Amino acid sequence: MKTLLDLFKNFQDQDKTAFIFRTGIRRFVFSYKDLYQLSLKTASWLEGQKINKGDRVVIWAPNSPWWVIAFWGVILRGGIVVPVDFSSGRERAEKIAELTQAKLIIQSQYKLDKIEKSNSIFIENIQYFIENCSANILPVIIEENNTAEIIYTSGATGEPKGVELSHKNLISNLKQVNEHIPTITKDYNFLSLLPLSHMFEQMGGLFTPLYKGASIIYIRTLKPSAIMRALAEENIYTVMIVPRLLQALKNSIERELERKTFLKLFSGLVKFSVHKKFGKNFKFFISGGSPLDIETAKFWQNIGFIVIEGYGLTECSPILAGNFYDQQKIGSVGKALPGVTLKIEGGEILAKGENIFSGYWQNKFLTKESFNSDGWFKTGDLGKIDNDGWVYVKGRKKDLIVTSAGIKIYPEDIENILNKIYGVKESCVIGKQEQGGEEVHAVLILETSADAPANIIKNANKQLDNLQQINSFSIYPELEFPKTTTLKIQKHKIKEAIKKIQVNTPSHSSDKIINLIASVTGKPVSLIEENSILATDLGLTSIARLELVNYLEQEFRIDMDDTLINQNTTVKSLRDMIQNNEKKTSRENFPFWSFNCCGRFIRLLSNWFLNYPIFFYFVKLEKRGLENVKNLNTPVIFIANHISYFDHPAIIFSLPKNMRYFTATAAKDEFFHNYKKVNKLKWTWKRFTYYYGTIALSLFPLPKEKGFRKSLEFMGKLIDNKINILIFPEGERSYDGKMLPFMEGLGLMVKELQIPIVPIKIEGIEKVFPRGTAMPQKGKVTVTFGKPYCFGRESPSEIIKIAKNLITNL
Amino acid sequence: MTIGIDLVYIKDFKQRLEKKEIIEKIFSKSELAIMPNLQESAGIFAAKEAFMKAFGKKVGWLDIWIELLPSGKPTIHCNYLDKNQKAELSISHDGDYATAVVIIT
Repeated sequence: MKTLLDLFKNFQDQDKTAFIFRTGIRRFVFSYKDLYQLSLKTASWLEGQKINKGDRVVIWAPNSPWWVIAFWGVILRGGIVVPVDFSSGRERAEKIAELTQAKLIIQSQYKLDKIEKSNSIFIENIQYFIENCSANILPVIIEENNTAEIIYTSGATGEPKGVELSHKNLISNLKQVNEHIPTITKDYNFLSLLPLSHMFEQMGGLFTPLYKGASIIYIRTLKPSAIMRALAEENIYTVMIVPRLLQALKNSIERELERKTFLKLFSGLVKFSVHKKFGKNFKFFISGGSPLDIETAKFWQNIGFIVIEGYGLTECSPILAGNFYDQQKIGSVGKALPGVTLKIEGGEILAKGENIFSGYWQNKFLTKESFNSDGWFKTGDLGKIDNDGWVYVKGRKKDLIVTSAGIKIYPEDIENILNKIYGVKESCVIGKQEQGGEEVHAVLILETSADAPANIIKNANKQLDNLQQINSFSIYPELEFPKTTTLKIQKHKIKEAIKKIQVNTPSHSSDKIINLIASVTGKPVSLIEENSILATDLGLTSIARLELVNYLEQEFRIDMDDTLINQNTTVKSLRDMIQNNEKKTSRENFPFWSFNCCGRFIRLLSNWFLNYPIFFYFVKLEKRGLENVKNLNTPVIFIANHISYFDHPAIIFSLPKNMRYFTATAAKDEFFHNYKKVNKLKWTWKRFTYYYGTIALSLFPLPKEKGFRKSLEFMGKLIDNKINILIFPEGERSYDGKMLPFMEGLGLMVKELQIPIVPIKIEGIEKVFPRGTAMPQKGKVTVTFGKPYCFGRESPSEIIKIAKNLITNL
Repeated sequence: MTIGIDLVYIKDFKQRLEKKEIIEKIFSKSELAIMPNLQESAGIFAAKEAFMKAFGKKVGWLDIWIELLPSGKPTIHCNYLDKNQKAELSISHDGDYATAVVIIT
């Protein structure tokens, strides 16, 4: 194996799952074969876009199987992938595209501020672009010294610098890592949480599992609730992680334990409950990006999870050293990988190995500076290596902040911006030790006429990329910073000094909810009281409301609907809302259980003894077009015209037996829940029809009050479990058999669920059991099935138009 | 007949909502596909807000959606409108602001 193409060839004939993509609504499965075919098709589409050997292609998109498919597509064309962190703003992405003269920019629709250039496409559209492309193309011939990727990191002058990594670099590191930690097998499921634009996630969380034939789980949003659900449901073995995330997970577990005090009495129970959350096979975290603090490492060790800490730099593809699966030393980043040589020179860690890059993109000067005369790469990190070869990282040579998310930040970049803001006399940016690692801290000396310091920081943060935000600040109590004779600020002295002075975060209160409200509304903490009304007293706009709910979801690991916050919501009622939400354990309000074997058996019985005899006493059923549904290999949405209460049994009894018990029917929520408890008899009757409907007829409510999103989630779950859905899109029964307008939501539904529809036409039933009659008559009914229809980029209204025509034309 | 209007300060909109988790709460897949830039996104957001004002109550962000006719004119749709109700929409943006008006008849 010499190039990434050699790795790619292994995917060809494997049916095994490569990726699972959890969108929150659907759970899409991609096999290795799918990855192979789709990547080749993408390459063939890229060929049409004139992407040739050596051309740069920017990928600025969130993690998903399509990120990986786009990546291989470019590699197969001999192109160079330029990944850009998705949390970066448009300016940075545009700058990198410009620096690399990128021929194509692959961006995402999940960004508000997009690049508007003719050579940019949306990653979400690739699946449509490649529909008609052939997978029979020959990959471009690639040498191991060809560049595979250019990855940008911060440069000291504010100009980002591009690390060029060759195929050889990547493959060497892949082999080294897997020799060092040979534990991973094809049974492993990786959960991908870190951005694929970072080499650490690529090497540990992408290339390694692909090399071993393991599976990777991608989730569309990194909401804590979504992460926990993925951990609980996907049988995860390991994740690549940065100290900041590990710290956040620790905090959230600790907070939960605080509520369940009884658990703390028995440490075994604590372990048990945490292990339950992570699934039965969870084995270890691999931590990198920035130093892991000892307390966090010990916490996880006590829980019984291994944290394997490693050390590396993008320039080294990226891993240089790591602990082992069966041996870890807390405080040490482990030993050098096989094939990597490390030494200390003047306190600095130097490295040699085939994984080390050859230079920065079009920057000979920086390249020359980063190697010593013997060709050793100067990491810029200070450290020591003990006699047994354990490596300890002791800080950095240059004045550089590495945040606990693993992002490198040059203080000068931020100081330059601060110094330009009116009222700032001097500024000094340092890394401040927080729980979990370093965060960006600004120390200011202000003119007397200056604006409030919190506003100055806000102003600076607006100008900074999302990755470089200032986290906290303090005001230096003197007129000038301590300086050397050459007028350089003595940062170590300031670091010492700020330990004694007050540190401000943009808001400050011991209460998390109040802090968040303060930072979102811009109101001082002192003005926020328990009975303050968010909308009127605190001026919470709908935009700010969405922002607040997002913070709350992150902080409290909950799912929350922002429209629940209304004109009357006070701080106190918000607090209650959150507490109730946190306590809620079951998220399943829908009768999913009616589809297990038990539910199906009850349905079988009720069909035999009740539904079947009644229905066929009245109806002579004729089925047409069954060949269209016999060999479906995917679940579908059946859509049918609606005339009578007999429509449902007519369709169900027309379906082949293997589908009959795996089809759920959407019914109006009002049908089940419209009666209040006033009339006892009516209410009991409704409860009865609810249970009878859900179990015996497999109906499920399309709840309006709970919102569309919840219904979609439920339908997605049905489909993922291979259950078809039957919908009557008119929403009510027609009196005369003529079709009524369709409910508009259908179009949106089909779009979100990405699933084919099968049209069904029912005729004759208007004579048997028309709307408005109490007793059916005997008669003949025809049910006609049409061909499955797949939608692509149509708008919801177009989908409805097409769907209606499909039924009419049957 | 009811009417609703909304004005969005685009900078604020971007700064607060530019996160995947929030974006997917507000916009459906079909809307994301017709939002070429920040201004249009803010306009669509304003349209949803204006709709809620005309409708008289808060509904889920995803229960309202905007589409474009081939001519480029936006139309607004909602799961809660009765079949005999109709909503009309107009969006505009210039510089730092986007605005939308919705009339429900």
